[in-house]
Amino acid sequence: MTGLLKADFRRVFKDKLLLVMGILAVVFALITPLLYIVLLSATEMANDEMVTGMLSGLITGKGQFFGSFSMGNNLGLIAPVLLAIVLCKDFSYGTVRNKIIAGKSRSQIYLSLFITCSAVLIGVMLLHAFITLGVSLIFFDYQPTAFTVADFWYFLASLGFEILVLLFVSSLLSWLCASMKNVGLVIVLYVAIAMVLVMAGSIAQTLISVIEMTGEHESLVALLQFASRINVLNSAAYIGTGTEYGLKDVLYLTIPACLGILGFATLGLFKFNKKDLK
Amino acid sequence: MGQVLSTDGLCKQYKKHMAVNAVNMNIEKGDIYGFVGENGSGKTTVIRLITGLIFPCSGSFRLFGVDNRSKEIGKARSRVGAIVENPSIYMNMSAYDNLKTQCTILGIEDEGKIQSVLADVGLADLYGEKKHASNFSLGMRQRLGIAMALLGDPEFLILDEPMNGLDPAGIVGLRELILRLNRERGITFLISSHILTELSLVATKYGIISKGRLIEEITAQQLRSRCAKTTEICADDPQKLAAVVENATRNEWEITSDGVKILGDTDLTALLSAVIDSGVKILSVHCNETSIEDYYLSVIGGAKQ
Repeated sequence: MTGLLKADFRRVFKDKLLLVMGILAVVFALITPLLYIVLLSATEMANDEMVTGMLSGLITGKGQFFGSFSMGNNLGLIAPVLLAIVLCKDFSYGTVRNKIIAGKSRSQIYLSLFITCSAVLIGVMLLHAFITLGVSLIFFDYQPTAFTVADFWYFLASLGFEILVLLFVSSLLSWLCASMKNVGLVIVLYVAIAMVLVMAGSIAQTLISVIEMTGEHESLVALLQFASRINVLNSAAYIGTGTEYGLKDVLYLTIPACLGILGFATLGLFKFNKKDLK
Repeated sequence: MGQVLSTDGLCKQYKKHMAVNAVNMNIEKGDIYGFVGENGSGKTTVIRLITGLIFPCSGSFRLFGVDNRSKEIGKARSRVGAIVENPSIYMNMSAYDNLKTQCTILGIEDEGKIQSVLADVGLADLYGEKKHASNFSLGMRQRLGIAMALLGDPEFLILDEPMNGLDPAGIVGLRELILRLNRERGITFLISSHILTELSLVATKYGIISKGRLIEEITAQQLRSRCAKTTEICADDPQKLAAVVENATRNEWEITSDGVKILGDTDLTALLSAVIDSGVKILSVHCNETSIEDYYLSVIGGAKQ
């Protein structure tokens, strides 16, 4: 298993697309806070209080840091696509055969793929997030209030939840890579699934706000809130947006993600163990 | 001699197409097994089944005595090296990086091993070279694939159409490598090909497959005798003719319904003189020579009918 992992990391590190991911992680990290500054000054000049108010939560180091984990745009959307291209090379080049003929079990091969995918995705996203935080702190405060020990623990907990979301994405990606016949299909399916989940989350959030204003349809609001909270890729709406997590928050942020990871890993292992390889 | 591979009624079906149908093949240690068949006959499918890339619909096989359904099959498979259809190499990596990655999978730390296998396949110049495999010729990729297969010091090497893309010098080099590895390291080979004349220069045993069925397993010696020149003499008294042939020639012969069939080259003038002198009445004399291709075509022709 160690040999497989070393080999998988080796091939990923030898791939130029990893460098592309790294460059994009830095570029997006530099551009995003600057874009917010431009946007803020434009809205302030236009004296648009509503937009300025909406932006105020985002124009903090904290907002920028946790916002950079969003899987629906920028690096959050591009990194998994590039990673799928890198990981699927084992299948398109037929090099996965070398592992099977070397006597490695399919479960080990799948597990190694999942671990590599997770480590690289988490690594790239953390690099992006911490550079974003660093750049943001040049221009904005971390948060409007003073940073306390409780904030530190909240930060760590939020980071843990973000990593759980990235593990969910990795398990989805690994399942697609090991199950589909070509990388094109993997990318199309991944983007479709990610976009549907992210959009469903945004739509649910908007509907909740609109319906809440009317003060009616409480059961519909509850249903939408539940759907929104169990949507793992919508967790950006809940991670790092407050000051502490209640038990309900923790359960909503961990159970769906863990079930998703377990589900995709089981599906992937089952499919890969039965799959005829070229 | 130990058995390296034996299959028992191995079958593989894709939807309604029976790609491999009840194949029973046996490969002994030290064999160079020529796996012969036309395109689409099922050679690669059998190889994929043996290497664990696909699963049989029914039947089983034993690799180094280990049943394919056993948990120990991975261990047995680690004693195998293979190229299936085309070489399994990362096109975005150099020859060295490809071999280094495979070393990592196999747990080989000896750097000298990479140099040694590259030298074995005539690619010693590529050690330390940064050129990506995507820029290699087909022949170079094929040789790199063989080098990858050799890395784990396999006891059983499976080469699927290894001559594909090789130039004449490359084919000669590969043939010499196969013979050397078989002789010096005792490596058993399974080589699939449809280039019979080339295969006949190395193979010690053949398996002829057509339309998913293994038609015949035959040793090189048996094949040679079946393809050798034959002279058939028909006479009024086959028994007496046989006695004359026994005394007049050292060749192998066999009695037929109306005469005697003599295998191999023989001094026909001297033989016929002896027959005439003995008083046996000659009815006809036929000389035949079958090429390996003719023999193969006659075998698969029979199978198709």
